[in-house]
Amino acid sequence: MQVACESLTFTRGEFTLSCTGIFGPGLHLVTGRVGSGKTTLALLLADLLHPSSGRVCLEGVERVTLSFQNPEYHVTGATVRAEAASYGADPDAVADAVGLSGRLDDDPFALSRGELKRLHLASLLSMSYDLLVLDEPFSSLDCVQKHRLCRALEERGGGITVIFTHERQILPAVDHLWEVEGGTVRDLGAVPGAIPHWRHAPPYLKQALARGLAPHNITLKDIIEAEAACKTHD
Amino acid sequence: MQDARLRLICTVLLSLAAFHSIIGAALVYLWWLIFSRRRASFPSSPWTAGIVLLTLGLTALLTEFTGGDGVSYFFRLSAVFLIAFWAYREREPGELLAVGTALFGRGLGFDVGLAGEMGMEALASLETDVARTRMALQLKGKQWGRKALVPFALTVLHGQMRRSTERAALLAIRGYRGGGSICLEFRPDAAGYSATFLAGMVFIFSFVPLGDVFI
Repeated sequence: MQVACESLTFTRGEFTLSCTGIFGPGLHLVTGRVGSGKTTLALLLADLLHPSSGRVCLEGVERVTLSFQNPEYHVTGATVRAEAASYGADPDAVADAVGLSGRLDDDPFALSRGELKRLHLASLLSMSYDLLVLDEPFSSLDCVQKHRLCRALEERGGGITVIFTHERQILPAVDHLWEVEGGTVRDLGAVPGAIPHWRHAPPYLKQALARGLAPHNITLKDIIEAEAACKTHD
Repeated sequence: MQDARLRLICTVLLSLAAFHSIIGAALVYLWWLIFSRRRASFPSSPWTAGIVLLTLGLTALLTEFTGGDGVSYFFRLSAVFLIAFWAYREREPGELLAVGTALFGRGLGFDVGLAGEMGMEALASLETDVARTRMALQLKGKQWGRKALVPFALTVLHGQMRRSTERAALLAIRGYRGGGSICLEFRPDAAGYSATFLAGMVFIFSFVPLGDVFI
């Protein structure tokens, strides 16, 4: 199972995005500045946008979905129950998981942005997809919910998950790092080898690298463990 | 054309010329061929151009069958919309605010410019909202049709209302009570002046018969 970007380019006006690389099974993290083309790449991967040249080749991938940064775009149900069911998810289980059990008959638009985002992500993650593309999944979530989402993503069994984010504090343990810069998508490689080459690394990770630590992954927990291992070694 | 003031003058002159006469509309098409970026001057969504053309076509047909000159109407109004699309695609964020302030001052001018800027931003975000909502429907395996219309419209409407609320709150937080100042920056160029001069000529020729001008 893989998603291969073969000499992929997308042009809109003066902006051009190019990408060549393979997204294999596991958790991929794509970072880049606002406006660098992350969302464009997400849409191309999910086959929602046609490339100007090249192609996105989905091998062994049948079920594909994408989560937009704004959860409102996904709303089709008149109630929270109907909204969760519209993804094919079990409304009671999803509502219970995100603390909305008492609001199953409410209008989804009556929820706060954070609540709606939680409902949307929980509905998506309760289903099985071969390719799950998440555009800014951490936006609108508080710290507790960000940690919950990280755990859910790390525990997701099988499939390809691609996260596009500029989140700088709370991140899940990932398998592969990518960067979008100057209209080019750079494949940094697998973690942990890719970590020292990650220009958009969060400050805590940059500081750890500057101190000579070699974390196994990109989370704060990995830094603490690397530090502890370093002290034990000393 | 980089100078927003010249673009505004061209838009007004050409729209009036195209609406006024067939000759004016024909000259506007010619002007558009010379100074626009052709395909890049059309709306990014083919649906927008399609809906406008369909509405114009139906209105023209109705006019033709009820005794009016539908063909002329279609020809002239299409030219007006062509210029409107061109002006919309050429604009850059913030320039309406600059033009409003430059033309009418820091009080009324700033307010008019701000209202125009917010309207343009709403249009641009509406385009994104419509495209993304359609994609989201597609991802859920739902067909685009009559049944999808209500949730689709609700989502788009909700998005616009939320954005308006956020914008109003932001203005209030920044202490906006009416009027304001802006550092004006315009970039006039030779091509812009040529386009404006020719737009002026088109305007004159649409009102004054060619024979009267050259004799």
